[in-house]
Amino acid sequence: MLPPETAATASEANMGAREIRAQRVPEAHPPMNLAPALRSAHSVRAAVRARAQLILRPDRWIGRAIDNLILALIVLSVGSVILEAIPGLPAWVRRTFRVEEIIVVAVFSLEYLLRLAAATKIRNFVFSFEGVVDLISIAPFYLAGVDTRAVRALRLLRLLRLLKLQRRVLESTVAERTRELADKNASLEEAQAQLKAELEVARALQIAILPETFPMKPGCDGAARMIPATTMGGDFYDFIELPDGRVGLVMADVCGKGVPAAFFMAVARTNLRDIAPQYPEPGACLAQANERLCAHNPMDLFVSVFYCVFDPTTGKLKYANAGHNPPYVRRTDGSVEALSGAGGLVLGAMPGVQFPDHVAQLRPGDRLVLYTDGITEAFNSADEAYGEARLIAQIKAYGDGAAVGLVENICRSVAVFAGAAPQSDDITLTVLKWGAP
Amino acid sequence: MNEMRTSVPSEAAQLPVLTHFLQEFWSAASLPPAQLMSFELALEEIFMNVVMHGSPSGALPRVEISLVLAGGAVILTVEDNGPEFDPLTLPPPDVNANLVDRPIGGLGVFLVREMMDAVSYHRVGSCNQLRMSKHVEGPEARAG
Amino acid sequence: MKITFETHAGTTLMIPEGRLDFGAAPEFQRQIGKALAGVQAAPAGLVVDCTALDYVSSAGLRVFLLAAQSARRAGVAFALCALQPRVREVFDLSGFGRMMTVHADRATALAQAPEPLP
Repeated sequence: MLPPETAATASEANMGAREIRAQRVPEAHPPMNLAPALRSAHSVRAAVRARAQLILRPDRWIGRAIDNLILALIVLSVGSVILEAIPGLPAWVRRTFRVEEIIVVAVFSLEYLLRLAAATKIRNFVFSFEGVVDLISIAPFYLAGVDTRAVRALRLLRLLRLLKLQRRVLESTVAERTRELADKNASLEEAQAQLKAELEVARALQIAILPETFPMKPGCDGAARMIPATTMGGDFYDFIELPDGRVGLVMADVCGKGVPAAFFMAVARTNLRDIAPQYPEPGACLAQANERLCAHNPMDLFVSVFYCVFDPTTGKLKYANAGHNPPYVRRTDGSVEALSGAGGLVLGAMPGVQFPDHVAQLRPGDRLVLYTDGITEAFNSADEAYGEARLIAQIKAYGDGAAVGLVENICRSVAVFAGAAPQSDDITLTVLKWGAP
Repeated sequence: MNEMRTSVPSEAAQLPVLTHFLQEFWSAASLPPAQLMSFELALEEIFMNVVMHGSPSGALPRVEISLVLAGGAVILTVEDNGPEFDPLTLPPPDVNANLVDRPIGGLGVFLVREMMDAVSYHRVGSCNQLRMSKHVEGPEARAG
Repeated sequence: MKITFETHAGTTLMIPEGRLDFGAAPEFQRQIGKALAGVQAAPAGLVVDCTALDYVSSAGLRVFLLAAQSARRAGVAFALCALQPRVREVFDLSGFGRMMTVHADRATALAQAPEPLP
């Protein structure tokens, strides 16, 4: 976001920019049915106009030199109007003033003609404030004629030349600010593009470290999907092969978004991977992970984790929950139940927290569905949430095929439900099907 | 996940400000009103402890309160930059004996421990950080 | 916090309304002290009707206990009644529920003859 000072001058700059642009935009070409003579007259006029505009442009040295000259002459002529009023001036002084006046009027007249030539619409210039001021600055000289009293009175009108200063000052400031602004915009855009590119790499890395396939275990058909939200999030899942042949399944959600959440996600995931082989009981594993996260959590981040250890030879599931939404189990008869034992404290909040172990039994043909609230709290444009009921319905309906089929169906269902509404949270899902059928 | 933070000077007059802050968080997160009083009490007891053990000389410490709803629990954190003080080391009151002679702080912290699921103290740099959490039924009520 | 007083057949009824927190405790203590001191006019003692007491913290609990103690010393009957459930919970947790006479409602409190405290 631009700092306030730039914004203030931006509006000035815009005004100036519009003004400059208006002067430079050539008139539309005349229609084809005009006589060729008129057409060539038009093009001569256009060429003259372009040349005049080029000379007057304040961002080139000629334009600036003219501006400075006019400025000097204004100051000079106003000064002499004042000095002329001093009584008893010697004749040679009066003559000098007269010569100076002629020079000033000549230069101002040339400038007036130049501006007339540069104007896109002559009438607009003549009747504009600047045009009138410029005319009044030189008219007294031409109108003076013979009547000397009128001349003296009209001379005072020369003071109005000060008004010419206003435009000069404004135009040059505007031109300078426009240049500055353009430069700043360019470098900001460059910085933003670079940042965006880096964030995309970071996000790609974040997704790349998640395992693509479930470990090869008898009877196990596992699938997973993580659809990141527009802002960097902190959802993750993991499959951890344990030394005793069991498999650890993790489903986690960092509280918060953005780069810190993404970073914390990586730290949490690494901690769990590290600890799991040494702590075969899931509750103890979570407790240890919690100690590690609390020991160094400068940004006070938290992560909800569901962790279970699955024995593929017996179908036994041992699990513990740190504030995560409990997973569903679909039985072969189509019934869907949530695993009990929700309610532990999220990891990273405080040390010394205990997580009780729970046990469940998968029977051949059962499916275990782990997910984060990016699914149940996906909103559509009518501000309705996808909710648990729809998820359960999907699991019931499509839970009798391959794991990947159920994953795809759920993701598609959420996408269809959300419609055009932007995805505010990561959508993360893993399905484990065990044993035939 | 909802989160709110505020910062006040460590003085008794700020208590109504904090109560209001807590109530705002509660309604913004659509939490059941039944659990609110546990947090109001916890916040008052901890904050008043900080106020009373604050810097004996010079500038008032600043107290930062943060409220987070995560994993079905509300996590309240009270952080102050006063001298090192762990209210959890205050001796608990003997609920069977005469309470009048006991220092005020003891009863307050005791109540906090009773009403919250978990409480912990941490010295973070030059700040005292007291954090407490309690499960409330909010998220389940909201989803689906 | 608003406090009103009523008299019923010799018993002074004290009715606090609102939140008894750290800020409200000093005034509450003052009022209860005054009520206990003026007990000659109501020999059947003092009952605090807590129907409208929404909240109490340790500061408030301390005032109640101090009042119970000075009532006992002065030989004046002192009881509470109609505690809201959450306030009752705080009383019980702190053990205060055991230390003083607590009645379920105003009618019961008034019906009970002033009993000497243990």
